[in-house]
Amino acid sequence: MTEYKYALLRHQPSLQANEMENFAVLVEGRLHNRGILFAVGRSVAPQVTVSQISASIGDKMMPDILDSLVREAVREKKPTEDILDWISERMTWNFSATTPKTILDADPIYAVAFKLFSQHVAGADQLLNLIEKSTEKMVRPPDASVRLGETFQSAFQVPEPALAMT
Amino acid sequence: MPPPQLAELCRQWRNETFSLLPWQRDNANPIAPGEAGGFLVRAQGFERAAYLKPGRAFADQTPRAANEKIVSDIGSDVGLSVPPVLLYRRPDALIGEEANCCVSLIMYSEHHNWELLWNLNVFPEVIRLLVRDALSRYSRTFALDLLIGQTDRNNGRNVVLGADAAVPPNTEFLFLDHAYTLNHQNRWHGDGWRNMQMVPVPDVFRQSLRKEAVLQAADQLRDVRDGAIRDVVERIPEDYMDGATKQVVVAGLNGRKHLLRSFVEQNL
Repeated sequence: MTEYKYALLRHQPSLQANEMENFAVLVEGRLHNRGILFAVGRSVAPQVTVSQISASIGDKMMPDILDSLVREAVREKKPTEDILDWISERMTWNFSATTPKTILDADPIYAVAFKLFSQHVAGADQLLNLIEKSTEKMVRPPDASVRLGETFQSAFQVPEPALAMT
Repeated sequence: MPPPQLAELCRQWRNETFSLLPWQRDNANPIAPGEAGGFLVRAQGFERAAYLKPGRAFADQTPRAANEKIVSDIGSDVGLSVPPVLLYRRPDALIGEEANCCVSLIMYSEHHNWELLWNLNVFPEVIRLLVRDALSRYSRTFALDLLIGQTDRNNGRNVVLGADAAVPPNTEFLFLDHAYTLNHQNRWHGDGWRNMQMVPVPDVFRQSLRKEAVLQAADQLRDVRDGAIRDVVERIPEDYMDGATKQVVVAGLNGRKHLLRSFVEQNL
């Protein structure tokens, strides 16, 4: 089993209301003895009303803004911090990150990321639950497909301490 | 300047000292605690959220909430981009948490840390124009940072771009976090207030500073009456800022406002 750390990226359309949606998963771990941050995400829901600025930040989050944040994290983070800890602290307000959690998994980092994406962003289990419930009632499921929007995956190499970003 | 629909509320917060609303922590909101352990709060019957700080109790005696209120009030008097602040006594503070807090009004439906926008080249032209337009209006607030001795502006989190989906032209950079300003660590004691230092800011923002606008705001700050500054500081209760510190802050602000213009002329 390998230890990974992950955080969810969330978008809250308005700070004056509570609603928010998960739109990406960041997983930090190692692959062939290299530090890796693997991100899987989808476009922020287009039906919500947000400013042009917000829409554009959502659009550029992966990989451009995330890439900037990773580089900044490498420069600025304390030796005791992981990249995800640093990013989680910085991602506040409408685009935010959850507090990182640690998990153990036998799969490689990309597979873990897609599993978490399926669970926390795509809500795949909810889709199957919908069918299950409908089957119990012997009726046809109302709509068992959900558009995920444009999906993205990005991998960032995380340099070891004291090494420059490549 | 606050958006027009908030002007009256902002005036009200400027004129009052304390918030008596029943603020409750918004547990659904994920805002990560910063250095001061602040968090988002909401009050039943009040349509806007606020940011409460400090959440944690500190042993260093820095009058965080008082500093925030004083800077916000002075900024408001000159029409600068600082959110309105009210002091707030937190009735539900636990051990290790601060009861003498303040709440800062969330003026916009969206806040984006300015570091998300530092690499402007990745954004489409329309966004670059919006951001540059907001930048062109921010130079005036730089003068306030000089006055209060802000040393922590080169930080990706303490300026946010406020935006509103409902009213697109309402986009401005808001200056947050004034805990470590004024007489922080007793640096203004004696003649210490005379020590003016350039505010460190990210390159992209330093390049956008318009000296003329900074000077204009410096003159406006200079023209704030000594008595008005004294009133802003002296209405802070003793348990938020002790009397000796208040005297130092009043003397510092009233002295430094006369140094602003020449400092900007020589250093910017």
